[in-house]
Amino acid sequence: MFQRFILPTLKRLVTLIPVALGVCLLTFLLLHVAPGDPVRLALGDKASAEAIATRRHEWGLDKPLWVQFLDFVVGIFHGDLGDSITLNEPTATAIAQRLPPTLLLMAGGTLIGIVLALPLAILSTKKIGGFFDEFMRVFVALLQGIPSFVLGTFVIILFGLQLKWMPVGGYGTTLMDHLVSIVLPSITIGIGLIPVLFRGFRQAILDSLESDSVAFGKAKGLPDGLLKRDYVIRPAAVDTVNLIGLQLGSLVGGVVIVENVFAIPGMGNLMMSAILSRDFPLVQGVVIVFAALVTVIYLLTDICYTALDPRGSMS
Amino acid sequence: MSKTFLGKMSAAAIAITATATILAGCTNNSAGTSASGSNDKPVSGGTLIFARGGDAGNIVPTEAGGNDSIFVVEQMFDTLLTPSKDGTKLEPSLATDYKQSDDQLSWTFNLRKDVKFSDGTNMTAKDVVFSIKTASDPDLPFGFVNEGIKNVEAVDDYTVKIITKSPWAPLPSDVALFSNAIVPANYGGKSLKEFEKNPVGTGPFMFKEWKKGQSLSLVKNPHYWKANRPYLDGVTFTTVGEDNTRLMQVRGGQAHVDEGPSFTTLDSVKKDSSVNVLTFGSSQTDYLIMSNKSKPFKDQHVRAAVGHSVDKESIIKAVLNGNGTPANSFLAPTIWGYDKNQKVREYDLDKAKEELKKSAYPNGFDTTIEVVAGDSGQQTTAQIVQESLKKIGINAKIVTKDDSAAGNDRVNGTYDMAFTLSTTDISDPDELVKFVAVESGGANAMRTFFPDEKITKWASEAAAATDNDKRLDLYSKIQTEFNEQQPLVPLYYSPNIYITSKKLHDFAVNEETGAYLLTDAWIEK
Repeated sequence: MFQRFILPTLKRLVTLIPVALGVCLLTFLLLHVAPGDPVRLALGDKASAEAIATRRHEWGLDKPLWVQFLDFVVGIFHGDLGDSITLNEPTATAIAQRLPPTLLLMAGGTLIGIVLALPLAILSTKKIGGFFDEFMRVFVALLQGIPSFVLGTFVIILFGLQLKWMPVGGYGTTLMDHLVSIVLPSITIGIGLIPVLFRGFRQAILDSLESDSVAFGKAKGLPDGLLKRDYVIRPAAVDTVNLIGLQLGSLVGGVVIVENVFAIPGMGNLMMSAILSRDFPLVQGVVIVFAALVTVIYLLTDICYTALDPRGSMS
Repeated sequence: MSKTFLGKMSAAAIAITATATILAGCTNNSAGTSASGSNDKPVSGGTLIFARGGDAGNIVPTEAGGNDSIFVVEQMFDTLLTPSKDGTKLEPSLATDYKQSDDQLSWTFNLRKDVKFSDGTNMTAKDVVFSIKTASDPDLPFGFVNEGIKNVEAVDDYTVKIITKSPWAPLPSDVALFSNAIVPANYGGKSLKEFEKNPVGTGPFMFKEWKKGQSLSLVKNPHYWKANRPYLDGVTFTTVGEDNTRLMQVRGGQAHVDEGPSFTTLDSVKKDSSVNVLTFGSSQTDYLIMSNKSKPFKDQHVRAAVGHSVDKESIIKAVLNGNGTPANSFLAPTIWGYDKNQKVREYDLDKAKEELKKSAYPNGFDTTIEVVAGDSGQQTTAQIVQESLKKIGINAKIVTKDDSAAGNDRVNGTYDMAFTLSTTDISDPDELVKFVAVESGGANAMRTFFPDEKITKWASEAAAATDNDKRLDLYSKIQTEFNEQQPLVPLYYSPNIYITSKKLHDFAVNEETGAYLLTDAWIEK
């Protein structure tokens, strides 16, 4: 147990520190290399030079860059992500408000992606190279070419405006509102996941169909249903867990776009507005939390993978 | 098996599409009939959902910078005077009337005696003195507006005297500006930081809750001084960055107002009978600016050549879908002082070539046009201008930068050609003239950095003059000189367009400042 899970987990958590520092430094540098001025954006074109200077000092933007960076890093170790300059509140407060919708969206999207892709993959592998299998190959290739904002808009027009089944955007105020609001964006993310998940599932099933164990099971005369369940689907599931985990990591990028299309007040939405308004502390805070999120997801994936596959241990 | 599954899938897909089409037809029809109903008597109640592209930054009058903040401030706070809806004159608000002294150095305002703040306390002269004195700090974003003010005194509880440094004609317009809105003296005993969290004013609505970057909720002020107003129980400003999403929220019934729809979608929206497309006059004027720090544009003939190369009609067609008029002055027609007889250089490439021949660059030169990323209007305009300039020998490369970076270049004058626009916040041309045409006027002559001694002199004379005819004459001369020198090309005047739900009635915005007028707005049950 200790050798298989705990020690590797601890090791992984320790490596998180340099990763986080690297992410911080990179974001910090990129933000400051990119031209643009949060003060000018906040005060408008008509503000005087004095007004600009006063505000710059207030926000600590007149300090040397390395001091600003050091302040930020020291803050993190004290659990303080600093204050957002545009929102006029602690970065941590903003992130705490915005994290739940994003997590909900990632979970909902992945769930819908799996629910749609898995049956299609199973159907497809019933007759390899058959009509449905060929159709899915083409369909999936086409689907992959559709950007998520186009897909999102289409989903809004169909389900929100024409059928009027769902709200066309926003997040509502009650838990019920939230769950309803999350449906269309989750569908958008889910559909967007189909190509990768479908191909992954299909390949995993093919691999296990061709494995020695299936040949062995057949030779042993196992009934078809049992053979499928224990010798095909289960080994395939181990591979797909890994696949889903990796997808969740890259989902972060898609969430940014989908949240903006559906006006979901999540992390992606927050990051977009923070970047556009050059709210340095907020961008750094969001990026750090995203980085931590992705790392934790990968870690959990590895733990699940190890638990499902009795052979290996985490590396 | 796979065949039957596919069969079911396609059947389902056809069914969905068919239902969608039928339902679409139905909703359009039903909305069409209800819209022509007889519901024109205002009813109270309901919360207006107002979808905007950006959130407010700061909602205290003296701290507000951009329009996203200003237009919210104006719902919670009142000024002594207020611009009329069409922007042509000032109307009483917290002050019933005012008078300039005979020596022209002070102005006396009589206040309404029945005004209460939203916390129930009375508004008196000491609140006015505190507010205007606080707003006069030059470090504030709009502190420069009060530069003519020397002192503010309470004569009695309901009379206030404002003393100016010199005769100052724009004063009534200045006090009508949102930054001079009335807050409780000493913020009611709170610090500015505390006051920011729960601001208190005399306006039709009062603060309820603000989820930064998401939504800002105001509710009806029970102590509002205008009887039986507002009709609405509250207003919630939501931040929805995507143009398309805002529009769909109004069409889907989730919001009542979409601020700033894109002009290119208007034709299709007008066919949707569940929404209104409202068009209001505005003071917005778009400019093609040329930096005086970029060598070729120091040459007046080069600027004149550019002036002759801009096809405004094509730009209006392409960018505004025809919803605009070519500009003949840097001032908009809704601004007092605008001279409708102004002549600008017409689109004529032969004349442009002649001008260029007279310049130091007879064979043309290489230059750039800077556009803001994601702004398709600027991109299109730049392409149209680029095309014409090429024909007269000027090779302009289009450079795309993000909003913030492009803003920096304009502020520093480190660009060749770029786009910007102006709107006005007050009913007097003084602010805008200094802003756009005077190099030392706070915005380096709209970031062209073009110095013009004559204009600078006339602008200060116009601010001090009390005779309206004399002021008009001076503003006319300024517009002529500015058009002649052409540090920028005024492109077009465009209206303020809002897409609103058919259920929302009597919503309007001020045609000069763009302020939302929500006191009379009401929502059909």
